[in-house]
Amino acid sequence: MQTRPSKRMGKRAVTVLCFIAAAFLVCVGSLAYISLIHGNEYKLKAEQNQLSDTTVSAQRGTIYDSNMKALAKSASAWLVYINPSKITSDEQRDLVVTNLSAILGVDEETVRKKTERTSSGYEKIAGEVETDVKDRLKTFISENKLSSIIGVDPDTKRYYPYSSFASTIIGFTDSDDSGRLGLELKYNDELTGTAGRIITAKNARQGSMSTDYQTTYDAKAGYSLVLTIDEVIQYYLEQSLDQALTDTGAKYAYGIIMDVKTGAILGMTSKPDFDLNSPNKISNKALAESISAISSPDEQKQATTNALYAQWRNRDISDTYEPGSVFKTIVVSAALEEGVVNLNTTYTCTGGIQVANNYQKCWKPGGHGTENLTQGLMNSCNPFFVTIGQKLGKDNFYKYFEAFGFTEKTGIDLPAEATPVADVTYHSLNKMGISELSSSSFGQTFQVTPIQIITAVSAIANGGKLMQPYVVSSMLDGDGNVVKKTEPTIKRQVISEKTASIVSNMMEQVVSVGTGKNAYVAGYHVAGKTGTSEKIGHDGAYIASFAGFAPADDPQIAILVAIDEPTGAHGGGAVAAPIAGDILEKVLTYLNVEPRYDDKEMANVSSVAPSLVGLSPQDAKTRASGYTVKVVGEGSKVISQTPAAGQQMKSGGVIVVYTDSSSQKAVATVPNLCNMSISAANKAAVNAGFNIKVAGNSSSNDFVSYKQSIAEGTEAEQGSVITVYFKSSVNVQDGPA
Amino acid sequence: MAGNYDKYGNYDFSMFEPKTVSYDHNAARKIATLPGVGERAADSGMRLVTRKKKTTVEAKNEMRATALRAAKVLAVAAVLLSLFAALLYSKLRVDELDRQIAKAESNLTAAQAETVRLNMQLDSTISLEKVDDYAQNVLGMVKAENHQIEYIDLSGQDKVTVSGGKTSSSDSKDSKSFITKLLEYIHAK
Repeated sequence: MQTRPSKRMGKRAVTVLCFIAAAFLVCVGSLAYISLIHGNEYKLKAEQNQLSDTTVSAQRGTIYDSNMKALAKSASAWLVYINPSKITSDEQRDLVVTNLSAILGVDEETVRKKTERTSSGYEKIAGEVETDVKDRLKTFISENKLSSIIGVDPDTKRYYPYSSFASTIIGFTDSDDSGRLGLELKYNDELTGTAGRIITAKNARQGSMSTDYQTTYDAKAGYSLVLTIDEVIQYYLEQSLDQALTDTGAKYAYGIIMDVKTGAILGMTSKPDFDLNSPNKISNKALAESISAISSPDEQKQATTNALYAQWRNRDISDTYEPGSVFKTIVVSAALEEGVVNLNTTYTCTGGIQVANNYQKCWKPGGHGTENLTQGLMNSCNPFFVTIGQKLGKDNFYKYFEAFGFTEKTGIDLPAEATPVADVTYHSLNKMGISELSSSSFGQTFQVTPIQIITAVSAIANGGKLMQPYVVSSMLDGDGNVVKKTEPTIKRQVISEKTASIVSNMMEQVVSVGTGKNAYVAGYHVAGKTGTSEKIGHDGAYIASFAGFAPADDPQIAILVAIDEPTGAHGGGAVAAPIAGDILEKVLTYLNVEPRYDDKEMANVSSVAPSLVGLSPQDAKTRASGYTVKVVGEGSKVISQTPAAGQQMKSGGVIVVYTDSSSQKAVATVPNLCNMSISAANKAAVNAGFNIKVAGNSSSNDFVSYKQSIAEGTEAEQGSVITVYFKSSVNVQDGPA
Repeated sequence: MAGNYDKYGNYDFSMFEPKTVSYDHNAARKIATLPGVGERAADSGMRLVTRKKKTTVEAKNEMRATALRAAKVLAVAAVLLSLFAALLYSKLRVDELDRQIAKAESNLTAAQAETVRLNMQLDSTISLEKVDDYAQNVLGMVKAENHQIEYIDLSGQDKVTVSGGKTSSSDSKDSKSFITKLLEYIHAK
């Protein structure tokens, strides 16, 4: 028999239903709260719990020179760390410190300090550790059961095989493989590439599951850079400027070589520079020692920082200087273009010129007398150029100053290019008075960067077209495909081709017979202009410079050499021009530019040692009739000779031939060959049993020797060829003595 | 009548269901209901089973069937075990291969890094500066002077001298093939 539910039961049922409904709502609400509000958070936690996500770093791109020689390349390496909290005894600490220091080559005291931070669980000991070192370390760890204390993680290392070569251009990376200087900084994004990922499912014990559950996103290697820098040209430039620092005792030396037709930088250096593999080490030993002698830690730290920033600085683009007389080429270009002067314009220099309330002296006391425009440039006559500047007027002066690119950055693809600032680094049009115009006309009272000067001079060489300088010619992807190519950019036509040609001829005269004659190179036509400028704020300190191009009749390369604070002679013609000539000779030969010698030049260069090996002593003397042949030994035939066959030497020189292998080499003491004319130096060398090879300009009799390749007093083999460098000190001055 | 109702007052229809004789299907333990006793037992709701005597053939058949079933079970178990073992082995192989791949990749990376390191080391030993220094100061070599270099002008066209003093150049009209000449002849016609 069935009965109807009572009212009480009904109430109870409703209550239960309400509870169930409430519980359901709470569940739904919680679900919504978890999934909608904290969904991402829990999802992330779940993924972290279930998935292992490993980042695979992308390989940094390589930096090549224009001949595809690697200048910077990355490879995987190792990072060594310790967990000081796991060190249990002093004996263990000593063991760790001694061996880590020995294996990794790090300072023992530094390692000890890190091991004493017992509250720390991670202290980096060394990065960029190579595999062979890591293997030795692993052996040590396993032998001494130190795996809980010493650990090894993957790392990358950037290799710079040529140490300081092109260091201020290439730059370097920090411990995070991120660019800090030069191209490494400028092109950091392109070089870095895109990191890859490996996502793997984890099992309940947090171990990796099979590769079936693994997703890999490959790392995309960074782009490689192909530079316009040519290793050989860069080497010649660096070699000459290193030598210049030694010879002149200058504080700095910097130089640039540019392709005038494209604006491509073929070589660029700023000396002294630094080793890219140890960028944080002060390269100047004397400076490093003086800094380490500083007692105050704060002062020492500050001095170290300053020294490092100074050695990292690319002075070719970051430093400004008064261009001095080099700037006269720009003024004469503007004046010719505007028609305010022509080649027949003359001026009589009396030793100075009145400008407003100042009397502006010419660098030559007494003046240059009457001179035409070309002679004015050859003599680097300041009053003449003051007059030209005043004729040109401030509007036209500023127009060309701007057109040649002195009011803006050149836009070269290197970091830290100095920005020209109106009324700070140069005179703005509004504030340019007659005094400013006059002094600016001979390259003073304003400042420019070396890269601006060489770009402007290149425009003269390039028929008036101002090019944008660049260092990176192309970018390659990981497979070597070209992804970006830099096309030469013509910024504007500054002067006409005709004006450019006239100024080129004038500049050639400057080198042939003017202040730049020490840059003369036999067989080549070099055009250029010397400059001497006093450093602002540094009394008695000068910058000697030379800017030019070659061959003058078909310009291919432009060069700028600046010697900052040379000791002794400080004129551009005496100091910078010989260096530029030396570099130009090597570079033009390397570029297969055919030299064309006149008869006089040919007579100077064509005398070479004949081949005498295999001949009897008598036949050797007959063949080398124009030379003094000295026979050493009792044999019947010549088995060797000094100098070697084909080596350039002056006629009438000494050739030592050896007829048996048992004879001792004939040696003698090298005499002093400096401050002599060519004939006097040759005579002194031959008398001592040596030969000379003439280097530098030797086209007239006012040239005297200033340097010899083998030092005086050195014991050297008789017959050796000593390179003797000649230059003129007559009429090469272009600024204050 | 009340006796036909259960404790909930429902009528118990099972009382009218026919009594069935239950058998134990185990041949070895088959039993029969004893006459007389069975009736009493049925009345009291109880059954008496007795072993039925089997013939030899039946017993053998039964034993064979039992053995066959056991063999089947064992075979299935063996197959399952084999499958499980194969699965386990393949899993181990996959793991092993994974380890080998990881190790090979690691070795490759290390070898590539070592190649770069050694190449860079090699490059640093043959820098222009070192080669220049070694050539001049150790080997006593002398750089060719500018005037010793003979420049050859290659700006003209390629020229090949053939026997008999005849000269053939790339743009020569004689170099036209027979077919070209024939086609020109046809076009001219």
